[in-house]
Amino acid sequence: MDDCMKHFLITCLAILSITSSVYGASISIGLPEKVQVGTRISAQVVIDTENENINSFDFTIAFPKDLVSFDGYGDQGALVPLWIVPPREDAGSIYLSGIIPGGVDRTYDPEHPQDYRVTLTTLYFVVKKTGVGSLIFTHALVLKNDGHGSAAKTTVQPTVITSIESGIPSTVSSDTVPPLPFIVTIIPKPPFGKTPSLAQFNATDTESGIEHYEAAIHNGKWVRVTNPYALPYRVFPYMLSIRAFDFSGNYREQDIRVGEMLDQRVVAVSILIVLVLLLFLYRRKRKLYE
Amino acid sequence: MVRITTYVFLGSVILLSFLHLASNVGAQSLVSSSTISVAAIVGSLPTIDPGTHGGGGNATQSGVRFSGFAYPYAIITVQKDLNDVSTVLADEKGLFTIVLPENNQQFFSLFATDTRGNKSTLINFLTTQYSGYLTDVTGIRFAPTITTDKIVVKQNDYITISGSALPNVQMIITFSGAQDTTFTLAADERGYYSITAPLQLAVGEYTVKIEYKENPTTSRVLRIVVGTSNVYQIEATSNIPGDCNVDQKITLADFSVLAYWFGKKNPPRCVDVNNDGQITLVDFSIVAYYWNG
Repeated sequence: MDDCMKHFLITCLAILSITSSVYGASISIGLPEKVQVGTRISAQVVIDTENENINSFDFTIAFPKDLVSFDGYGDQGALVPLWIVPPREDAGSIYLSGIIPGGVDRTYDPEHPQDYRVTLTTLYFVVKKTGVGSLIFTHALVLKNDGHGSAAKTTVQPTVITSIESGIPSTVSSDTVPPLPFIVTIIPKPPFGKTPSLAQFNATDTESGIEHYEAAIHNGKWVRVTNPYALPYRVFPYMLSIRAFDFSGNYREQDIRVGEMLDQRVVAVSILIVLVLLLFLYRRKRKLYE
Repeated sequence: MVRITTYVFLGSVILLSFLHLASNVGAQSLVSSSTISVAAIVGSLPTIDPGTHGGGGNATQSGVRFSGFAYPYAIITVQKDLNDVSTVLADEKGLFTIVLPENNQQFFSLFATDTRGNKSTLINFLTTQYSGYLTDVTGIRFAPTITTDKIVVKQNDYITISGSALPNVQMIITFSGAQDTTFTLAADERGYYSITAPLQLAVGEYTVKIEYKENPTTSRVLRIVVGTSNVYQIEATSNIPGDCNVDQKITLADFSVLAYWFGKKNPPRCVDVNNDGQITLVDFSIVAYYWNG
């Protein structure tokens, strides 16, 4: 077989190791049947709510890291508006959790009005070599939109996909599109709370998802941060810059001026210091006259 | 040449059909809403009418239409990915219809704000649009809004619960806790309801909610304490779990505070909404339920 025309077989077995039940949410991963080495494949994380209104989830998905590498995620056509933990890879597992404010129970599709499947997100992988592998949910928690955070029962929907493809090998196209413009919002420190002032930013990237954020103050050193970012205390206003990086290294930068007001404790301490100083000067002056 | 002419002709027909459909939304909503109100005004979940998405092939001519009942003169807000994109005023009966151009699968959230500024719970729609078609989501019913005059009620003293709902529809208020009790009432023709009732319940924490009698659509669930003295609901207090900045709503700011404390020790009491000493997915789920930003 010609090297250039070499085609490979990957069998992807999605084993869902979740509690078995007749009713409740069922989770699956949609994978293409035919994949080639060097291509970027998409795996849709799909939940069939079975008419249960759900609003949050927490998954860990193990993948065959010798066969494929994690290459980001996509929000286009997906559901999750707020990530608690955006999809991230660590030692062959992908961790992801998020919430859907108000919950969701189905996709409103005129062609499939009784379809209760919703795509939470799409995970991307790059195929490295031939072989057989499996994607396994090693942890799956889905909560109902009931105001109590009750766990929804989940069902097992094993999916086996085997494919052989012969054709022209393709290569992974590089993502050069930076994340979309985003807004940095300052959440002030509550007067009597112990939560610090926070900078909040939810960037999105259509090609590969947000991989990480970095922050810099006054064009200083860039440091990796998470969203939300606890703002360092400064007496005077300062410029905060946030960079959102996608999985391909493209980034988008947004700046915001943080005009943090002097908080009550600083004001109180300052007044105290001034009073002590005045008292000291007054006594010293009296001593001089005596 | 004949083929091109045919395509142009068909395209024009499709375009005119779509524009005609969009321009007559108001008239159609009255017809469809009155039909729904007979069969399942309170009992049905939002449904899709496949019959109205006829059309044809231009990718720029697709959209989504939402229609149903809110409260009289309520403001209906439509959000796309949690950002406001459109508002519409319900009529004197609470009827509303809103049409948005949309080509892709999209996540919409709708909520109603009554004339007193109280917001309903969110209703979400992950809709699929087909090129040249109108996805028609009908039969939407907003849950009643709910407020209380007290957050702590002296045992056997009175509590006033009020809000807005679909006019003249029977509703049930339920207190759940150490003891359960219910009250039945209906909103007036303006969509207002108010009930003042003695709370002859054991001391303890309770939840209170209101729902339509023949519909699972439920209001926000508020927390009430039956104790030894009264604490009135004022702007500086909130009985909405997770409302740490006490602005009487759950928004991205509250989510961010929760996310900040995720995995950290000794979270503030207002963040730890289920009072288990840690921030877990359960806290996020509760905040997501109360979300009305």
